[in-house]
Amino acid sequence: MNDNAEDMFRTLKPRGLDTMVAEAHARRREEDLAKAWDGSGSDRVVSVPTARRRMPRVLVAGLAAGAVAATAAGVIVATDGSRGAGGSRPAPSGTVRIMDARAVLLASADSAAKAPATSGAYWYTRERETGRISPPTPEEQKAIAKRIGKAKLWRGLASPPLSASVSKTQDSWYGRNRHDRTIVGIDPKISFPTPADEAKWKRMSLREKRHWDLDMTAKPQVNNYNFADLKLSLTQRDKTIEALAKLPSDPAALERVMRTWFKHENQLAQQHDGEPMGDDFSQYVFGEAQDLLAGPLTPGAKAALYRLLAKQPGIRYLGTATDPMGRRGAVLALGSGGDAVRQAKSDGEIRLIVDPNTGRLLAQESGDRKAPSLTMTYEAMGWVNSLGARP
Amino acid sequence: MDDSEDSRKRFTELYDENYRRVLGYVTTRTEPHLAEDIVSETFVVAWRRLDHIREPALPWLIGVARNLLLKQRDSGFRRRALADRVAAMTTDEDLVAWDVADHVVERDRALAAVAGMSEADLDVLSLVMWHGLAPREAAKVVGCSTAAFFVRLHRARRRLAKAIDSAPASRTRRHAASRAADKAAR
Repeated sequence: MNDNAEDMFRTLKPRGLDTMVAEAHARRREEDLAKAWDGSGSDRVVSVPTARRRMPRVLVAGLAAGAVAATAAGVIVATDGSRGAGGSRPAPSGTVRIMDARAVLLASADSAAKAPATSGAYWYTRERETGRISPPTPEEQKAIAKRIGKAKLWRGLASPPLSASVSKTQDSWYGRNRHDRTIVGIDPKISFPTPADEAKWKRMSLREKRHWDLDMTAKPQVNNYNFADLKLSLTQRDKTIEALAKLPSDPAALERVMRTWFKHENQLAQQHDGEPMGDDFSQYVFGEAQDLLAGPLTPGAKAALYRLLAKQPGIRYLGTATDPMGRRGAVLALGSGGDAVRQAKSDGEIRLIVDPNTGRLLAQESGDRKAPSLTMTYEAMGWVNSLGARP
Repeated sequence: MDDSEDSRKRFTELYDENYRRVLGYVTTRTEPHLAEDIVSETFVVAWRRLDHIREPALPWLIGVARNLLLKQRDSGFRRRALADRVAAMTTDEDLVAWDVADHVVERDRALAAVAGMSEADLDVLSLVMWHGLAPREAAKVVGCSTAAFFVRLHRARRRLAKAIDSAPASRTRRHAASRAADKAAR
């Protein structure tokens, strides 16, 4: 018995459609071609490619943060600088740093290499996401208005009416056979900075709560995906589970692979936006690291990634911190540009919390250090042999 | 516009290569004769804009057809809900195919569940699952970035799963097949 909703949807496609259109093709061909050539078509003005009307990136990022859009593709998708993680506090560091970022990364590489090699049919992750929403400041409002223009289309998404933090856990299985499963919305929790925010939340309609992803009554939901016959784009093909599991353990070879990805990403950005991504290669590697370290890399490839990171300029060590699960790790940060002071202030900073003793990624966060806009905590990950199994 | 033999040759190839898939898309949105007129109009536009069309042309063509469909709603043509069209086009072949696929939910109920979904969701799902467009191509059709399209696709899939989940499972799943077989025997 087949209970996959997407399979059902596929089966609903009318069988007669293909014959019907083939018949029409033969019947209409001469007439249609002649009609086009003698220009006897109607004079109706057609406003064609709506394709030009792109969703501004800033909003895409905001939406993706809530929906964990990456899972839709059945591949791991890079997050941009506006996504990140929350909750950790870098410990105040003394005047003398015992370790710098490079030392932390090289130690992590050595530890990662020692992990036992494992394999399986599905890569499993359990992630807890904590997102913080808050109304935009007047300056932010101005910046947003400038960036998205006066497009009426997005007005509904413009600004959250209150401040709150929402945490939810997601289980994901990514199959080598491109059959995936996610369980989303596990153990939802909401918290508010002030009683006034909570009161405002209580007065919200269900529709409004859902719009801002503040509805805490929804039950966890199981989604099964079959991407086996989905045609993948170049950048998606680069990062299928199969491809990630085969990444090289030689840092130079890994760098070549990632430079190819970087090129593909830039081609895609060029195609869509008419300009390449704003990131340089170092920022790209750091941005990818959070997804790759939570992905099915071999111990050797993970070590190679840490070594590649150690070569990148601009990564800073902020000291140690505990993640939301209470695990202690080293905090590594990279901002989206400018000097260190400006980077720390900017929302563009991404921070990774890694355990140099195991080479494991514990959490990542982005945005303000005291109140991160997004925190992802990697509670568990590993290979399993069936959908639904946990390591 | 260059009206040379080359242009005519290129346009004929464009028409032959894409006609069926463009019509396939439009036919699931409106009655067959109106669908054919809309596709005809789509290729009139394509001829005018031939020099601007880049390969693959399919997303561009479906995008034009989709715009025409949206416009027609105001001018007498009726744009039909996807589920209405599926119901209207259902044949015994569809009932048999459903039973062969061994789905836990009866076809009528699955169709009713789909009918409850938004047309925007169904548009996104059908472009990818019925008409074989890659998400990047489908993004061009609906006029958003690939990243935004993945968000829409993910949400549409989630809502599809939810809609189907809430449809009661079938206890008599051979029902439709035997009904079709009975009909055939008569």
